[in-house]
Amino acid sequence: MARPSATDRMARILSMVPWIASQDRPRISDVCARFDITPAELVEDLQVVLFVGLYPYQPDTLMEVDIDEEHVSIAYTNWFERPLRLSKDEALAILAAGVASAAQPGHDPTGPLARGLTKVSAALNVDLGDDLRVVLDEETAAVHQLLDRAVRERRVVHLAYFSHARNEHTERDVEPLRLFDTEGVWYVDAHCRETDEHRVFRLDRISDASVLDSTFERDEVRSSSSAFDPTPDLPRISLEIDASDSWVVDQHPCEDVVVGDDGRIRLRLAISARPWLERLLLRLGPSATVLDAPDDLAGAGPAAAGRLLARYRG
Amino acid sequence: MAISKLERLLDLVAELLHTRRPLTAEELHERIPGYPEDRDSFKRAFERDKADLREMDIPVRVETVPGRLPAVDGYRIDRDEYGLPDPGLEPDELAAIHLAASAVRVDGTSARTGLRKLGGLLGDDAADGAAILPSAPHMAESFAAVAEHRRLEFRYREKDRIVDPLRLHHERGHWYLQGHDHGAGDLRSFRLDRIEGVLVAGDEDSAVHTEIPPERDIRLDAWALGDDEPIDALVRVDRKQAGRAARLVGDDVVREWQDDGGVLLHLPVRRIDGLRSFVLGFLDDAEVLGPRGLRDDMEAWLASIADEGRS
Repeated sequence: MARPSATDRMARILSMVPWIASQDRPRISDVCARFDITPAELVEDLQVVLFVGLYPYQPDTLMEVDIDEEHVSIAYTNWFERPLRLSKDEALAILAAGVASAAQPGHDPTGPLARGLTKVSAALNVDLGDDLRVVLDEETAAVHQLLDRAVRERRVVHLAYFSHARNEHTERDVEPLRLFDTEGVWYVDAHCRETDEHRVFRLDRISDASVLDSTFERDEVRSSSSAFDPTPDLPRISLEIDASDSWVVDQHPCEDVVVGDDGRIRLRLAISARPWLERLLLRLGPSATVLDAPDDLAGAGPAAAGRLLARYRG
Repeated sequence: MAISKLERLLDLVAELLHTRRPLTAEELHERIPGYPEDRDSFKRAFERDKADLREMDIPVRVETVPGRLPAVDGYRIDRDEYGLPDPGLEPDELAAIHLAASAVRVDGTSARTGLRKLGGLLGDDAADGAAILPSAPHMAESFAAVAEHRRLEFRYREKDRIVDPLRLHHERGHWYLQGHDHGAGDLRSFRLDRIEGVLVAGDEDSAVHTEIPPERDIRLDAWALGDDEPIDALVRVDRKQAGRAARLVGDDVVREWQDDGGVLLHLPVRRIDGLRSFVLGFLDDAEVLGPRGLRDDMEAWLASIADEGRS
């Protein structure tokens, strides 16, 4: 591991010194556990602290550090009586975690977490009841934890997955290689054992997952961080859409995007499966025009609309 | 032995915390060991040190030294501004916060440095690894603005906004700022990653702080994020996607499960195009049942795509 920078060590010392000074000769092992450092690092830090003080650096303006085999004490720290205030990032990281955990089922509103959060938010002048809300998607969070473990342990996972592209439920065994997020949506990059292909699965569409006993050996991880990489062999369609539907360009990997003088946008899209195209065309509505498409996809929009219409007129 | 940078920075902070009056750069040059003798080299080193302290969020004040002409800048650290008030945490409380912070992490940030300031990492990490919340631009600034009642100015959806921030909210992978939008004269939600450019925060207490009434809690669905008066739409989703649909709309939407495994959803709709998108996302497995106007709208929409005029 890289040696910590001067400012990293300084941040640690500025937190550790007030704590040690406030205790009565704490044990070195306790200090090390609390501040997540080795005894050697502690000694190294304290050797610096020994020389810290005020001009003109006479003994009575230096800190006094006393260390033996088991205990440590620091005195004359009046400048470093209190730790530095939390930064904005630190405050948010701690409170967001606390608020999210406190919103979980089974949380005890009179337990140590609730009491601790009340004290910390009072010290930070935050109204936790109103200022911050963190809704965790519990099911996705559980799937995330399970996959995180499977990736680390290289274990095969059985997935029940709703394929949005094909509009159907599927079950398969996959070798999970990597978790990543794009725009706040989490995906797992995996090798699908059923199709023997690389696939990307959206965590919020996994309805069930279980870690199997078998492990896998596979290292290749695609470098791309996008959820859908169109391969050259997929069919393409060319579309013209209204300027107000530019979200299509933001949300999908479009090729050859051209904006016309009238603001209409022409683009080409790879189509992974027909239901995916149907959904897109139904949402875009009559203002979208298909300019060019393979024969079997050309009428996808009107055909799907006709099918759904039967339901409204049935 | 040469004085290390770490020791120099610690001496500098001790001196600035100790002094009651602002100290000039020359005085600090004289008092703090380890700076180069040469004036220009000292100035460069001192600038770097100030930048390092700012980076660590150490609040170094720059003040005019009293009684000096011409005016000269001096430096000091206000102890109250520097020090974290002692929250008085019991060991079990600190351990519970540590556990929570290891079970839920904000991507790209660490709670460890903050926990050290609160008294260290007591107890164990969460055994199962963390749920990870994404990070978003401006999130720490926005949260500070909520807590400190700072009025915010930023550009969003091609409009310049003046907002009194009321809450930072995370849901379904995104961070939102809720607040009173002065232009709209009403409560609005803004997705942080869609704020264009910079966020300008006013002074502390420049914003009017009101509570968000519970019935105005955030609803993030496309059909709810609109300005229309809400219409209660009745949508049926068939068995194949009923579970998914129920999960998407959440517990606060009234849901009636039916014997065939389908589900009826009562959605307070503020945007018809948002409803259309939501329902069409289920393709053949969903239908708008009512009210009449919304059902007719959907039928007309589908008919215009089916292009019946031409056939």
